[in-house]
Amino acid sequence: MSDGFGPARPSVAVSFASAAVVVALAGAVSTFGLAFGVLGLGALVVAFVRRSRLACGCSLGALWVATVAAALSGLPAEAVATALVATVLAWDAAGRALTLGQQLTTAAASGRVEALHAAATLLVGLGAFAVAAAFRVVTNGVGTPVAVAALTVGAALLLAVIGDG
Amino acid sequence: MNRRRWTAVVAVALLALAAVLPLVSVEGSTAVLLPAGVLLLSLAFALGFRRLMVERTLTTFGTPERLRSSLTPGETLDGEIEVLRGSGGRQFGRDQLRERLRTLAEDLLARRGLGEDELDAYIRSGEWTDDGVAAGFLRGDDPPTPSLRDWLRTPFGTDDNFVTALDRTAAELSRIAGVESSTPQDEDRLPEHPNSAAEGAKHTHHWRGIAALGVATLAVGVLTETPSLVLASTAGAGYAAYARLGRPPEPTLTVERTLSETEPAPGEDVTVTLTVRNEGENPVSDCRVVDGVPSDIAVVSGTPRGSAVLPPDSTTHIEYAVRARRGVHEFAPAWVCLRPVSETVERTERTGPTTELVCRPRLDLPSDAPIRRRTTRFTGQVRTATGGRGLAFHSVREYRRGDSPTRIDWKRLARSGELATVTYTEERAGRIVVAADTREAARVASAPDEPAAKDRGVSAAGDLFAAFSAEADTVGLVAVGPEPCWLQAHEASVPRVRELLTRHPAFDTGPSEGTWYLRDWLDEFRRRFRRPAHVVFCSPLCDSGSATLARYLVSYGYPVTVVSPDPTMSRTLGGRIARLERAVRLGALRGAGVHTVDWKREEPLAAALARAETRWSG
Repeated sequence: MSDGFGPARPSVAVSFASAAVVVALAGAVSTFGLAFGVLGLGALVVAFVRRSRLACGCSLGALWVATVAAALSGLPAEAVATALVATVLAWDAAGRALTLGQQLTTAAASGRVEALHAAATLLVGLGAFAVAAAFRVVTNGVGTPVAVAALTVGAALLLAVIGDG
Repeated sequence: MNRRRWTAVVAVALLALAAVLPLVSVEGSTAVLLPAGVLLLSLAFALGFRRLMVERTLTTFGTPERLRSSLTPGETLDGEIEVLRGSGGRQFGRDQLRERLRTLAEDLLARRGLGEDELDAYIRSGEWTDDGVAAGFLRGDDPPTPSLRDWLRTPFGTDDNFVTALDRTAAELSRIAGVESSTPQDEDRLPEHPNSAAEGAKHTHHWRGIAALGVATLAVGVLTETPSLVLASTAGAGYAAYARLGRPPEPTLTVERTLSETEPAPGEDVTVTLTVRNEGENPVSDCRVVDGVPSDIAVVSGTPRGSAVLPPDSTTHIEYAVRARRGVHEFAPAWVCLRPVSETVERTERTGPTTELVCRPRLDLPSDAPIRRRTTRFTGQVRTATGGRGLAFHSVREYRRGDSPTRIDWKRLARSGELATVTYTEERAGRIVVAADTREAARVASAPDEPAAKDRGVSAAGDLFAAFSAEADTVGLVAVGPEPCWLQAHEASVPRVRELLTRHPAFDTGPSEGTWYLRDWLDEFRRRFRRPAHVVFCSPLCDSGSATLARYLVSYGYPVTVVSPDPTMSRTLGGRIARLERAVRLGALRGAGVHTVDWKREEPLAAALARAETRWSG
């Protein structure tokens, strides 16, 4: 990490903080979740030390398992959504930290750019969940969560198909 | 059916599911949920696999902060030694290396006054050293089997007995030659980094496969009938949509570059300010800029890289400092990489002006430098055909009124009663030719991103030219390299030489292209410099060609002084052997009557000359 091309520090901080949120939420209700959360944190450390995107991916997987374990252990929907968004943010910020380090070195100031991207990632995840949650409240539970989720995922996939074109 | 159609089908199925599901209850609907969950899980795996398969090429911008890389002395040899490590039939390479060290030993031990046969017997007997391994190595013995402790320390599958013996022989010869070790601390510099930047727009694949996360969450939620997971999966779906929103930003940035000094002196620090402005109507959420620093000047403070979020009509500045080096250096347009907020795509382009930095050598020496006085040591070397004051006997002539009594031939006066005066070969300021080694073999440096010895040699040639010009009437300047430069004494002046060293391709700090032939160069030199001239040859002596050239010049009657900037280091075995070879070359030249100045790293030229003068006087 000392040769100048190490990961950008602000994104490293965001990544660790997000992973810590997952660990805290998952650890509150599930030992299994806690174990995978810690594993995800460890994978992040490896990712930054070894500059490995594969380790970033492993961290995403471990934190996601932690989130799912917490959800299955009875974590409320809002907390599950928060943990999922934090999982994505930890992975997204880790990838950005590595990219910026390789492109601009740690000597260049990139805090504003990093903050903007991290805020956008946070808003997109929480925003999507908020819309779905609001939909459920408005329909007063008539639309089941599965229907809401299927609707949004289906719409996203269609968008992906259009986007590819 | 291709992947896109499959995705479309699944998307429509999910939308249909969304329409149907409110009609049924989640609990107890296994018949519906199980197939849906399995389908979603399969989709998640497919999307995740897609991410694994995608090839990401990160745009990187190299290392403009570093000087252009040079070879270090012994680096090629280190590569050869590395190949020889391990088992295998590489006897030829080993024999070559053994022969190389044996020749070195012969050159070194020949100074003990031994004849060819005696020298051979001396080396064979092993009397030249107390180290049995080194003695056996030069004798041609197989390297001894290592001790159990050494064997255990050797990595499995490698066989470095030979390399160990080579190392010990080199160390022993270095001890005999009096070569001191030199391993300065490596400075904290950026390592070399690839440059993959290319103009145009491309996908970054930053979010590729993120949909898998949402779908997998949904699948687990459906299969386990967990509403919180199902609801949270919408966040994943949000990211999948987000990943499709980005479009390559329009290139609306302008870049300007200003230098605090466009014609600095060598070694002077120049502040470079890069101003990046968004001239467009839309904000730029992520702009990454890397300036096009010339490859032959190094960044000494700050960084030529930066990033910014730029609203319309706003600017950002990147400031850094470079250290000027002799020559004309051109800043290239900066690399600008733009990304939208989602980072799904990027547009890379080169923007901004080219800027020239011209650095002329001073060609004047510090007032406290004794070099001007030293020049008399050089100018006195040229013996003229006329008799006069000097040391070597020239002739005896009839006494003339005013002759010094110390030059009267008193023996002749006693013998015949005739008064006669002894004259000596007159030594006076003669023609001097300063020759700078500009061959690729001289472009070696103590570290890959340090100024090359060739550059130090050319700078020294310029300084010496100026110093000699103040003392002697006729001083010329020539390049010893593939790009010819012959400046005869009558054409040379300090301003002309300053301009030549700044702009002439022969003295460029970059690589020397083309082939150089010793014989052709010598013929041309002799054709151009027929009258006696003292050659001051500035060369690192890191190859045998430079020493051969000096010896040829001596054999043709040109007195030679070699000013040799030392780029060798003792970091590696190859480096240690190269350092030893250079020391032996210097010693051999001294033995051939060549004055040598061994100019150490980071030592002022005047100090090196002063050291050499002490040795010459002694």
